[in-house]
Amino acid sequence: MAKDVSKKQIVKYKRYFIIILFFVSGYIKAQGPGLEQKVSLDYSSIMLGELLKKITEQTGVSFQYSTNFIDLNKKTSIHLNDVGLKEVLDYLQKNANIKYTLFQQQILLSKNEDTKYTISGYISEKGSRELLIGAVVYAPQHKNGVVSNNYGFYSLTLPEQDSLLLHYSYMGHQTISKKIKLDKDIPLNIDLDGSTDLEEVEVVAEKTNKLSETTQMSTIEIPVQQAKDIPALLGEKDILKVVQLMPGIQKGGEGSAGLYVRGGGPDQNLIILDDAPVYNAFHLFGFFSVFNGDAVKNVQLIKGGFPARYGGRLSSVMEMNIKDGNKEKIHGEGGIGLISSRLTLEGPLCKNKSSFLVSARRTYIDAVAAPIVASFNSHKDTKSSFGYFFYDINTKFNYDFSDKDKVYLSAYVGKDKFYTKNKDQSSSTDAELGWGNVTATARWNHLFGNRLFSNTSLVFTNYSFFISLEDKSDQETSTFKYTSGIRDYTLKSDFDFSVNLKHRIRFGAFATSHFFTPYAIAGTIKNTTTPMEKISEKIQVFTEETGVYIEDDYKPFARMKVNVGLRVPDYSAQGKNYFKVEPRFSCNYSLMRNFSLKASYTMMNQFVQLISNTGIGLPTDLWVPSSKSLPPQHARQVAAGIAKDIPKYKTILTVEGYYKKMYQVLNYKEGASFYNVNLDPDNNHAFSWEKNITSGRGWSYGLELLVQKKSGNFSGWIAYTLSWTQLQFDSLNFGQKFYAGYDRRHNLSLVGIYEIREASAEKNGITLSGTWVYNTGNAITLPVAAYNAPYYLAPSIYGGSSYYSGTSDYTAKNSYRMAAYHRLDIGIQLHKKKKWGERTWEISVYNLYNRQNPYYYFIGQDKTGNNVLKQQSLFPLIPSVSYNFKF
Amino acid sequence: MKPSLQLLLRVLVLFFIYSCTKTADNIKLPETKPKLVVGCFLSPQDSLITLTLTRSNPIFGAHHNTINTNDAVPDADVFISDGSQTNKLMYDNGKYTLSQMVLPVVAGKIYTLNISTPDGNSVSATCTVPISNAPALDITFDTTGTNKKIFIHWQDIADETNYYKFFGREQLVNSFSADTSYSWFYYTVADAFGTTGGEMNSEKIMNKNSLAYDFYLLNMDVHYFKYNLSLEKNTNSGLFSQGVPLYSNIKNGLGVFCSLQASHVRIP
Repeated sequence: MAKDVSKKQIVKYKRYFIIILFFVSGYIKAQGPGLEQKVSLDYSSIMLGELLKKITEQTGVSFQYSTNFIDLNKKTSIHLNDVGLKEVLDYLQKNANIKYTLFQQQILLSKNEDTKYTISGYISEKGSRELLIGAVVYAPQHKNGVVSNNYGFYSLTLPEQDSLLLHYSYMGHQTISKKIKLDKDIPLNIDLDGSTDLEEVEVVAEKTNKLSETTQMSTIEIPVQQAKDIPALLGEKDILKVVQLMPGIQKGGEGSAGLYVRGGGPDQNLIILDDAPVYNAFHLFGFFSVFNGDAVKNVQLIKGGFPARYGGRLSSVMEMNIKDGNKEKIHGEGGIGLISSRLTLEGPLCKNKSSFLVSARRTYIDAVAAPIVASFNSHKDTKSSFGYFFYDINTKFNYDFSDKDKVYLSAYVGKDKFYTKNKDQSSSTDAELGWGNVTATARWNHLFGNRLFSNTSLVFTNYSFFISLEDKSDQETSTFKYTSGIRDYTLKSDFDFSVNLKHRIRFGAFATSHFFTPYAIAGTIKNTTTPMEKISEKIQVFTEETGVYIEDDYKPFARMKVNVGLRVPDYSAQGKNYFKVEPRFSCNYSLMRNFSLKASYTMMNQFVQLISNTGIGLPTDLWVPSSKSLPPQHARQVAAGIAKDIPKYKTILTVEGYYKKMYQVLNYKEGASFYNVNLDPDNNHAFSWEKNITSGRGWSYGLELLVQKKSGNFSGWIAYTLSWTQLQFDSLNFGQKFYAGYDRRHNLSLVGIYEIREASAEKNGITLSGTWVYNTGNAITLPVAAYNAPYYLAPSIYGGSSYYSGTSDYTAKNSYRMAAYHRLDIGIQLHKKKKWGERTWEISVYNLYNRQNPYYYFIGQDKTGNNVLKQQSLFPLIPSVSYNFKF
Repeated sequence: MKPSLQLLLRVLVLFFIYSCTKTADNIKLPETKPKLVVGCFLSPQDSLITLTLTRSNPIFGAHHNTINTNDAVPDADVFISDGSQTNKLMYDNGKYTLSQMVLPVVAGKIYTLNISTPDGNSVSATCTVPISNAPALDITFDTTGTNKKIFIHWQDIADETNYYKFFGREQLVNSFSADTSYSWFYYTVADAFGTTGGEMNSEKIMNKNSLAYDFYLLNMDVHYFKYNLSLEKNTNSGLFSQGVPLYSNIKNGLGVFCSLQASHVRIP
């Protein structure tokens, strides 16, 4: 049935198109002599068809029109006596919305398109009222549509129409079709049902946001449910690790959640959680990310073709939104795993007005290990204990004052801590090392009229790292604490203006204050002979970043869409000001149905930079500001590719090529590292990060392929990347270009999720999943020979020269490759419906065939004492089990 | 417990205890032959041209006790040329030497080194002697505080790009045996300076009981500067720093063939 309707629409539309062509080929504004003929019409209520007949009878002038746009049954009243035909036509244009055009002695009638009305509202999920981001509102008669924004809001402005058909759709939800008489502005909130059956999924696939129809390219959407189905290390589901399985994105080391996007470093990714940037997204040295999948509503990662509303990092923007919380009933979700447990609760506070969400996760290695450690200590003089934990908590609260005003408050707190305590009879030592993020966002959505949506956010984010030591003995007590960190306050306003079907303009402004504390120490010492002495030293840098942006989603032709934008950031630090202009452009040209060409150009600047010489997400990595001597990082990127939707198989195919050039990218100087940065003996004011880093250039180019099936019983994707990344620093590798450590020529991920059976009260639902990854090994520098390096000494003493012994001759920087990395993970989930909800047992195996992937190499000896290269690998086959529940 | 379950558990445990360290047999190791390592520092202030020649020892395949030897290569043909004359250096007691009476080292001149060994290896290098002598050092002491401070001062040579290295030693008395010993100290090589000249100052805290001091200031050529810089980094690598390759201007070899001018002060 639905198909018949759409066919009819297409036929009508073609007719309309022919009329338009007529206009284009011979458009002459009606003012011919026929229009001066006199007419008399006096009717209180007459159908338009009848009225036109009367005019023809009196004047002999005939009309041409399409009944699709001219409703002949529409009644109107007219009282005009002995007036010219032109006056009558003008009257109809004004009062009956009919436009007239003279064409070869005929009068063409068409709808007066100048009268437009707006349909606007929020799209949410039925049952939870969770606002849906990226839901599609499609008007088939106009072959056009809009997508709901980050707050579920949409606005569609169309010409007056008696019977406007609209399809509301969202991935994995039932499509709703509405017929509307559009003769005034209409507020229309829609709830989409998430419990689909197969038949409806077909419809959804046809109508959901088609990749081939958007200008946005180089963008990855991760369905959160898929992320939860994919097997994970120790059963800890991790969104960042799922992102790593996508083309163009490389992981750091084994098990690391770090991201290297299109040749960019891990600092070049802007990770935003409800508008708040998260500076360190990692727990436990990068093995786990800080994002708890239960609390996350959607994940989008942009690696190129950045719209102007995003900026501040060179390589990617990863935007995550926390669920708003169920507005209708209390709902819970949680799990018990090998290393951590988690619980999420959400529900209404005031039905349909306000809701909340609280989600928490904590590891318990420390709690489990405590009794074991205690038993070791039981008969010793020195009692030692140590432990590690991390936790994170997400909370969100929202309140709808009206459809025009909504307020959201969200917060995230996460922390990692290692600690050791040693105690004997006379002394004790406590040491701690920890890091954590705190973010808080207050957002206010306001609707001006029904086409201009605004959001104003006040954002706080703080990242801090610390090491503390406390020594106590009978003679002396001392404390020492080192901290570093960054704190931001941001105020920003974003506006989203749906002008018409051809233009959607977004604009906004932001201001951020960054407070950097690259180095702060504080300590006290007190002993029997001297009174309390305090030391305290702190370096703090304050910088400001402000900016404005504007972008337009513009559809110049039926087959073409462009997004043009401009972002203008301004950054000032320590008396130095950087004013930048960043043009952004992306376009989509539809070659045929479901198949399009895309291209983009972007320019990006980055004013905060991470100094890391490990790339493994150590908390010692340090955020520093751009300054006089460290200009901001800068990148330009072009990308082009094709996008193909295959609705029949609910599959998308993209192939993209990109070329990116990066300027002023940072690296530690050779030989420098976190340790000697702080302990430089020749400098009392030891910390000068600028001395220890160097800036250079980077080039990255490659080809990415993605075939992805997002829904259905069998879903998953194939992602392949062929890429090259090179760097050049004047003070590294003697100024020669070299391959970045994470330059990996080939990168392949296969991901499959197969839902064998849905859960019911009687039977277990079964979901199988598996991932296989392969990538070329990291580029490394190997020592190849040892020798003694001569140096000059005073000839009178040592005869002119001496040696440093044991220096190494290396291969050219990063000219060697680690062995290729590959790994297979599998998992099985057993779901069962219970009276209280649903439970899932999950058993998964990481590294099923126990591949010993090298983590690093070192020089060791074989049995005969000869030197050989040895490898250390991290994770062998690791099985895990977890229990998850939902109610 | 069922025997099959026990077996399964044992298999799992075996996997876990299976060591994660092994010989890396799946990557092709670089094939390296020993390279000649040259050390030659031409200075007009010295009376002899001295050159050391050793070999690097490939790490892989060799026995771990055999690397890091100082064994000189005694049978090489070593020639230095100043463009107008070429002279052979003679091997003697671990070193190749040539008197500056035969081949003087002259400021501003270009020197070329050619070495060949009976096993068919040959290396070569070129360097230019800095035009100016190193500036004179001006040393002052401050003994008012708990520490003894020395202030080092020199006037940069105008209209030249210079690379300096400052080093010295202090003579200490062992408080138990009354023997004297020397303690060396070095300063980081100064960066390349502009052509304007100017004053350079530095400050260092010294041992209060030192008997005597020797201070040297080198005005180096660019090869020694780069080599020295990479050498300092190489010996300064932290836990997470990557290996730093040493600079070398020796074609097909390692080490450095460079030039410098030195000034020296002895106090008292």
